[in-house]
This record gives sequence, structure tokens and C-alpha cells, in this order.
Amino acid sequence: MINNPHPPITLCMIVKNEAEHLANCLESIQEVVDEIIVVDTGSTDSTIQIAQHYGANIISLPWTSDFATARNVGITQAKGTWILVLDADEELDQGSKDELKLCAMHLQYEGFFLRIHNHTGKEKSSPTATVNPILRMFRNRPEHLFRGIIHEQIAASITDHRPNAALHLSTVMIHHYGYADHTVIEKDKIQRNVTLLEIALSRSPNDPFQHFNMAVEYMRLGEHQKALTHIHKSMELSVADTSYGHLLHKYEIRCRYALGEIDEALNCCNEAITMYPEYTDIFHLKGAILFANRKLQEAKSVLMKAVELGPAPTHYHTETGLGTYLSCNMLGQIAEEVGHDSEAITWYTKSALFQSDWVQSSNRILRIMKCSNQEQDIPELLANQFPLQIQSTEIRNEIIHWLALDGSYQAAQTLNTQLDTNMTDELKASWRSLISSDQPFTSDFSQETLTLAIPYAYQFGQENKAFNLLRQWELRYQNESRICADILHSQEHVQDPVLQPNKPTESLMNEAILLSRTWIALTDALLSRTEPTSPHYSAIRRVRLMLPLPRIK
Amino acid sequence: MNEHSIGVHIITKDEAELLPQCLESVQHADEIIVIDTGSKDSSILIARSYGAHVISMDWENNFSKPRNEALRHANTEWILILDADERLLTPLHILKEQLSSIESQIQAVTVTVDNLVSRQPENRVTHQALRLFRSDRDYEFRGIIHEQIEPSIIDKHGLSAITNSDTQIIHLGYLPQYLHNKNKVARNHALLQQSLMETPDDPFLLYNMGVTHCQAGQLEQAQLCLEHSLMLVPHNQSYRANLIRDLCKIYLELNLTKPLDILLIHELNRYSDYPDLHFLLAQSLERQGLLERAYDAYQNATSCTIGILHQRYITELGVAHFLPYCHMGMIAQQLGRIEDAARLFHLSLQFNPLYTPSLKGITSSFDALDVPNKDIHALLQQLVNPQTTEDHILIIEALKEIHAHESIASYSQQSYVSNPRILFDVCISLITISHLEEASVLFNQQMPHLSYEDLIVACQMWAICQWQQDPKELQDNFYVNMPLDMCKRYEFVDQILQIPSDTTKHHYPPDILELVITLVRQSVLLHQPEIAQRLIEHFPEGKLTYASTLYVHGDTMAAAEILLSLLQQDLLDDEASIYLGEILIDKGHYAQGAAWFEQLLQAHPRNEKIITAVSICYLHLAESYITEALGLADNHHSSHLHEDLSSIRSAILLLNRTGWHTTINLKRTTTEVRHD
Repeated sequence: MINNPHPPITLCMIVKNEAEHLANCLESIQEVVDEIIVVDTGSTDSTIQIAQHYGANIISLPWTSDFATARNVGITQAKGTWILVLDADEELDQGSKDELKLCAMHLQYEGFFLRIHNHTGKEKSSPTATVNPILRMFRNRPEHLFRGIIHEQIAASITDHRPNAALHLSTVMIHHYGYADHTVIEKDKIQRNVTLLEIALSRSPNDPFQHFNMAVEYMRLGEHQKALTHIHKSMELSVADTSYGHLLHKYEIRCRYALGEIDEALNCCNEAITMYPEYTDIFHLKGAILFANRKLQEAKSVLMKAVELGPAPTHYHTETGLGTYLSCNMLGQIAEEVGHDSEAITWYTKSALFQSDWVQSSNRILRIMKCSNQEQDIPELLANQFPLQIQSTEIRNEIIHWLALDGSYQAAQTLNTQLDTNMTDELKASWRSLISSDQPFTSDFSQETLTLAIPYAYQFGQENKAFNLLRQWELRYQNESRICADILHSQEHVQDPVLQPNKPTESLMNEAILLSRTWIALTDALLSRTEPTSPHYSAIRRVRLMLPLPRIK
Repeated sequence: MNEHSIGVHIITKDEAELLPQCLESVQHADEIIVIDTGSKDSSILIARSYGAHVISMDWENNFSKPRNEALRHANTEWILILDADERLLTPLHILKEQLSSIESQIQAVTVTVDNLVSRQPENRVTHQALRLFRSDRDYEFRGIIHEQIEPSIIDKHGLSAITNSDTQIIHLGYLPQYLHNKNKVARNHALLQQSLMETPDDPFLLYNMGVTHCQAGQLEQAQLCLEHSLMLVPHNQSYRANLIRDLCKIYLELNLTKPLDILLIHELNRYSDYPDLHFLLAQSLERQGLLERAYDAYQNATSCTIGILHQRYITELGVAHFLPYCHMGMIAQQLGRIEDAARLFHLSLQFNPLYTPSLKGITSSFDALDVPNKDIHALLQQLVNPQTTEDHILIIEALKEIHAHESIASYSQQSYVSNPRILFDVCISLITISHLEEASVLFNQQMPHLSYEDLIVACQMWAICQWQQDPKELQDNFYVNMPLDMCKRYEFVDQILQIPSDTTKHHYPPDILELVITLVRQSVLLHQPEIAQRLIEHFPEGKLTYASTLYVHGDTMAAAEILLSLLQQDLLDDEASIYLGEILIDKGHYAQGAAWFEQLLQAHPRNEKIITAVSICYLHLAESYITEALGLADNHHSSHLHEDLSSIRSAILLLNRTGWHTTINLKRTTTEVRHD
């Protein structure tokens, strides 16, 4: 923190029992902030020690069911020019450090919106569910205080005192983990929020923001009718360009749809589109509702609009994938429903090129090609459309394995020879070995090999061998299943998770999944015999398309 | 020239068969001009006998020439164009009245042409055509085939000079008996081919070539022509929508549901008011088992307002109301929404009370809703309001759907049973409800009036009826109206039945066994299992028929037992083997079902029914493993497994919708066969 060119930043946090996350958070902002103030509301774990390690100034405060008070205790102690607010399960993206410092130099602004990326898992690599711009860094002034006992807000107090305050939308990225956990937080925690919000609303019944928050809690509880009431109240009370105005509309649509009010939901979509014509999420949502109600052509045109718009502009709360891979994916599904293969492949390719959901979309492509007798074109398509992905040995082998599991053995083989990979030689040998062996026994093969080899034998005229093996395998499975049941039974008496981990059930589950996959592959091989002239050809093709996709761990 | 006088113009070549009915319909016209292009039959004489002015000219491979020749001779204010295979349905004096009140700037009037396409009166296709126009030196027909006057009228006065009317013409030429009688198709083909040599990319010619191929039954060629035409035709052409309709009908005929779906889903944006296109899409989707989407598409067909055809859509009768409502009813039935089904069938019948599928549908729906048979019968009476024997037959057909024997038996009066169809239905019902004496009396009365074919069936029923009444020999009156060879066969069977059965193997003549097998089947149909059993005690060859018939008529358990015993003796045929496999699947024995059908598959590797049956077994096995895995899975895995499980179940549902399973004629056949 020597030679710090920017005006000082104070990080302000409130914590309670955050030992799990706090270190990561503080590590990420070490070189950026000049002061750390942690308000602890009664931790019983090592939170305080961790905070001390990073040189934080710790204030202990009894919890008074009021978030704003706790925050304000922290910021009134701050010495920096800027206040940065983070939660313990958040982390500054390392690529955003410089931008944040740069922001701090721009004293013409009163505050900066940072982009909160809500991850579904606990890893940075886990998918982002939503991205939310939130005012998280603002000038340290005595009158800038948080308001609200829950969902405490700073924006109102800034704009009240400085109606012309300049606020900037930055692209600084904050990772927020465990979002999925948050969405499934125990009911009583939501209930606690509801109680707090009720208090807040009894104090200021006309606070549109708290009505909005209340609606969010009710949506999490699945009580959409109540949520809707608060959304409408909030809409009525809030001024024209409220920062969460677009969210009110999105949530209104969600609630209407969840309540089965399709026409109203679509009306709300149209209304929202006139008000926020650049808000991609609404277009996607409208498309999804139309698709679910089998209005394929209308769904298609509105989703295409979403793709044309691309991801929503930075000041909107948005969900990842809308306007990009999720919208393209849905367009692919619509094309499949219509029966338009080439169009479906085009959309899935687009979706896959947005990267995030590469496997799901590309697997649909491979499945469609197989079912429309274009298996032989798969290697060429992959080489043309996904040259970069194909270069990765790992992805390449995964595709080859997947193709074989899905019964596209020829494509898998071609791909294998073309790309000359080592690892898959073994795999290739495995599914062919069965045909060469005269009297095969299940014990000679691993379960994974059987899953590949049995449908292979079946598809290439060795039906008896295939069934011989499959039936042996089923018998073996039934035996194991019986033994496993016995073990589980005995475990009820001697429970020792260290000596007897869940191994037997897990391997048995995997075996059941592999057996199921094998039967599915046989079904597909059989159904592929249907003549194109049959009146049911199209129905059977749809069945082949909808069979579960192979899953590779 | 008389004010509002009408001249009728016809061109003929060997039209003696249909010309009289055509001229009959316009005999009060102020003038009839017939241009004959070389008839060798009596066409010219017929035309003269109706007072027509007949002009003969050479045929020059051009329809416009004789048409324009007629125009040159016209002496009337208005001209009506008719073909010899058409008939003016609107009385001529009414037409004249309408013309007298028409505004003076109107130059031409379109009329509705009803094309009959089969014996069923509801099978008809209608379109609007410009056939009535004011005489004017500047008007001329253009085009060597499908000649049109319209362009020359529009050239002079614009589109606003044309108006619609409800004048109706009936066209008989598409009826199969006339279509093949004449070489019109070949003639059109030659003409079109000649024109296409000059302008190979004329979309209108290609369209007509497609239609001609279609009439000749050459669907693949028709498809190519229509697709070619569709690529070239400008979007604003009035026949474009009809071209799409024709192409889709061919796609459907050829099972090409995929191009049909893709074409229509786009074109319906443009022609959303064309009910036929919605209906065709719906049929395609229904065939693919996509019932929910098919339902939507049928519904879209019903929301098209008919009657206001601003474009000249060719439209099939009922395609915007009774047909789609009936299909929606059947889908609702399949999806188990019986109340909806009843309502939809009722709606369909509001538009066509004589539409048999809707009558059957409403009957089975109300039956499934536990409405008593007599109330259903009363409802049918009220809906159909029967006037003719045919109407009564419709009601009886519907009642047969629900095995309403008491109600059917009420048609036993002489006036009904003189119709052999009603006689048989009434007797089946009487025998089923054990009114054997009444049935016998009816047979005795009606026997002398029956045709040979009907006599054969009547004898089978009557024999079973008599045996059931009295196990002793058939009575003498049974043989009175019977040909000698038939008498001998019945006597033979009757005598064998009188002696106690033994286990010795007999060899009976094939014609005797044939009769026995028919009698066994009839006994099951007539619900007289004792007779069937007595027959197979003496003629074990009838066992297989007995079991199969029992199966198809819903007594699957009794059937299974006999089928299994026949299996041990290796006496099952393919059909019975499939029945046995179906029983295994219906009972949920998927592993055995799979093994059983695999065996059949080896003998018939391409049999779709067997392929589907095996696939269903495999999918059920896959389902059971996933269910087991779910029992062992943690939260992390279970969402994937649930997803896979629902895909498998949807796949099974869709496969079951292909109708692979034999239809079991249960009293209730309303809900989809389910296996879970």
C-alpha cells in the first residue's frame, strides 16, 4: 500500500461467523484498499482472528435486527475517501483491481456501481446465474448513511442530499458465491426476512423498495399472489426511473406466469418491452412463455430479437445466457420441435460458440445428426465449427466417448483416426473386443466397456452375443444389489461411516445407470431400423431425438 | 340486346354423359352457345335439343380459342361460363334478379364452385371463380389451359370492377367415376407439357402440371412440379395459397411430415385465415403423436372465418368447423379429457349432424361419463333427427360403439329390418342379450329377401342362435332358403356336434373347417362362448381363432390361457404370437415381453409393430434401472436421473401413440393404453 496513487478506499463489512469465506474475500482486496473495518455482530468462530490477520479494524456490536445500523457504525469510523462495501462471501475479480483503483481517482463521481456475478456454486469456475449492478463504492461523507433494517440501501441517501450526484456504471467484477445456496436458504431464514420487512413496512408503508424486497421474499417462498401484490404496490409508489424498475416488471411477468396467467404474463411482457426496449431478459422470458405454450413461430421471432440484442446493458439486472447461449439453445429446441434439423444445428452451434454451455448444445447437435442419417458428417462439422475446442485433447476424447455411448460408432472411429489420439485407442479396442471374442464373459470387461460394447455388437449383427452378455450382467447386478441390501441392513446396527463409507450404494447406482444407458442404446439401434416410408417414421424419429443423452462424469 | 339477359357458354368434346344435366340447369337462359371441338358422340345433338347455338371448330390445343369464339357470337348483356361437367345450382331467375340490382360499374362477378370429390356429400372442395361477366368487345380469354378472362377485365376497369356473389355451381368432374372415364387428365398433361416447353419456368403452368400429375396418381412428380412452382411464384399470386395446400396434401399422402411442418409453420404467418392449411398441419402433427400441438392447430382452423374469402382459397367443406372439432374431440378423448371431448363432438355435430365419426365420438364420450344408454340413444335421435333408413343406420353405428344392445334391439320392426345392415345389427344385439327366439323369428322372416352374400352371414348367426336355443339338431326351416352345397356343410357340422367329442384326431375337409372357423369367430362376436367351445371340442382347429377373437374382444385373460396352451403345442400363428406378447407387456412383464418379441423379430426383422413393441420393453427396462439408481442416489445425481426418467417416459408415451398395440374392442376404449 506504499506509493498508492489513488485517494484511499475503506472496505466496510458486517460479519457473523464467516470463517469459511472471509479470508478469500480479504485476500482479493488486499492491494486495493487502504483500510478495513469489520463490524462483527457476534461471531463464535475464528472470524475475528482472520480479520485481525488482514489488519482489520474490528468493531463488536450486538445484533439489533437492523442491517442499516450495523453498516452505519462501520462507515462512520472510516477514514478513506471512498467506502467499498462487500459481503464475506464476495470476492473482487483479480482482473478488476486496476479498474477499481482507477474509479477511485475519479472524484467527480459520488459512487460506482459494481457488477455482482452470482455464481451457482462455490468455485469461481461455476456458472454465473445472474449479474446484478449494485452501488457498492461511494464517497465517504457523514450524510451518506444506509437506510432500511433489511436490504439496506445507500443510493437514496446520496441522491436525497445530492440530487445531481453523478453515479457511474463500472465493469468491476465482484464474484458472489453460494448464490444457489442462497436461493434455497431454509424457509425460516426467508421467514425472518419477511418479519423484518414487515417491521420496515409498518414504519414506512409507502417505501417502494421495501415492497420490492418483500415481493422477492414471497417469490422465494413460492407465494406468487402475495408477491404480485407487493410488486404492484412498489410500481405504484416508485418514481419513473427507479433503478430496480425493470426488475419489478421482470418479476411481475414471472409471478403471472407462475400463477398460470399466461395472457396477462404476455401482456406484461409487451408493456415491459415498450418501457425497456433494450432489456434482453424480457424478450427471452416472453419467448420462453410462448414456447411453453406451443406458439413456436412467435416464440422464435421474439427469441431472435433477444439474440440480436445480446446480453442486457450493464445497468440491468440480468441472467447469464439470456441473449446468448440460453436464447440460442431455446431457438434450437424450437427448430427441433418444428422438425427443422439444419436450423436446429445452426442455433445449437451458435449456442455452443458462446462457450458457457458447450457440452449441452454440442451434444444436441451430434444427436440430431445421428437421427437424420448424417452421422458420417459429424467429424467435418466439428472440424469446421469448433476447430478450437477440438484441439483440446480432453474435449476431443470426451466427444469420441460420447459419440460411442450414443451409438455413433462410425463417427467416433473416424474422429479417432483423424485426430490420432492415444488415449482412445484403448476405448476403441474396448468396444470392438466383444465382436472378436468367441464366448464373452462379463467378468472380462469393465462396466464402462460393456456399456459401449453391447450396443456395438447389437448394431453390427452380433445380437446373440450382445444379449448373452447383457443377461449375464443383469444377473450379476441383481446379485450385487442383494448383497448391498444386506450390507445396508447390517449397517443399521453398526453405524460406522469411516469403516463403511457409502461405496457399495454408489457403485451400484452407477451400475444401474450404465445398465439403463445400455438398454437405451439398444432401443435406439432398434428404432433406427424404421423405414422412412412408414407413417410413423417421423414419430419414431422424435422418440430417438428425445431419448436421454449420454452423460459423461 | 335484352337488359340483364344471360347467355351461357360451354365448350364440348364428347360430353354426352354429363352435358344433359348441365343444359338442364340453364335451359331458361336467353342464349346457349356451345362450341364443339370435334365430338364423336351425341354431344352436338344433345346441345341442339336444348336449343343451343352450336358452333363447330377444330381443336387447336388451346382452350382460349373456342372460349373467345363463343364471345364473338354472344348476344346477351351477361355471359356465364360453364363446363359440361358442371351444373348451375342457383336458379337462373334468381340469378337474373340479382344481376338486375347490380351496380353499373361492376363488370364481373365471382361464383362459388363446389367440387364433389366422392360419394360422401361432406367430401367436397369449394373455391371462388370468375364465371359471370358483362359482354364487352375488349374482354378476352388468355392462356391455352386454365384460360382466364379476369386479366383483361382488370386491365380495363381495375380490381374494383369485380365483386363476389353467392351464386353456386356444382362440379362433378372430380368424382372418381368421371375423372377416369375421360382422357382429360392425359389431354391436360399434353397441353401443359407443350406450354412448358416454351416457358419452362412459368409457375402457373407448373402448378397446373402438378395438379394434373396428382389427378393421374403420380404423386412424386406432382410434388416436384408444385415445389418448383412454389419457388417461382410471386407471393401476391392468388393461387399461391392453393398451391401450398395441394403440395401439403401430397406431402401428407407421402408421409413427408417434416417438409410439411416446416413449410406450413412459415406460410401460416401469411395465410393465417386459411383453415385448410391449419387443418393439414394439424393432421401432420396428429400423425406424429404430437397431440397437444395438433389440438392447437385444429383450434386455429376453427377460428378462421369462412364465407369471407377475400383471397380465392380452395377450401374443403367442414374444414373450419365440423372436421377440426371432431378431431379435437378425438384428441381430448385420447388425453382422457372426456367432458371436453363430449363438448367438442357436440360442437362438430352442430355444423354437420350426420358426421359419423362425431356421432360415434359423442356416443363413446357420454358412455365414458356414465350416461345411461337410453339417454344417449335419445340424444342421438335428437341430434340426427332421422328421416331415412340411412339416418337410422348412422344412429345404430354409433350405438354399436358402446355395445348398447338393448337400444339397438329396439329397431326390430319390419320397416327397419328390411334393410339387411339393420337386420344384422339388430340380430347381433338380440342374440347377445339372449332374445334368441326374436332373432330366430326375424331370420325366418327375412331369409327369402336376402342377397347371397347376406344370406351367408345370416345363416352363420342363425345357426349359432338355434344351437344356443336348443343344443339338438338345426331345425328344418333353417335350410329352406339355402343353396344345396351350403346345406350340406351345415348338416355336416351339425351332425358332428351331435356326437360326443373324443380325442382321436380327425381330418375334415377344408371347406368344413373354413365354415367352423367362421362360426367360432361369430360365436364370440355374438357372446355365445358355449357354442364356440362346443365347436372347438369337436374341431380343435378352431382354437386359435377362438383365442384371437376373444383377445380382440377384450377377454384377454381367457385368451391368454388358450394361447399359452397352443404355444406348448407350437400352434401359434404370428398374429396370435403378437397378442401373447402384448399381454406380457400389458401385465408389465417387460423382460419376458422383450425376449418374446425378440424371437418374433428374428423372423420379421423389419416389422414395425414388433420393433416398436421391443423398443417399449427396452425402454421400460431402462426406466426400471433408473428408478433403482434413484433409490440409491444423493441429491447431486437425482436431478439428472429425474430428467432422464421423464425423457424415457415421454418416449414410451409417444411410441404408444403410434398405435402399435392391437385395438381391444372393450366396452370402453376411451383412454390411451398406459403401461405404468
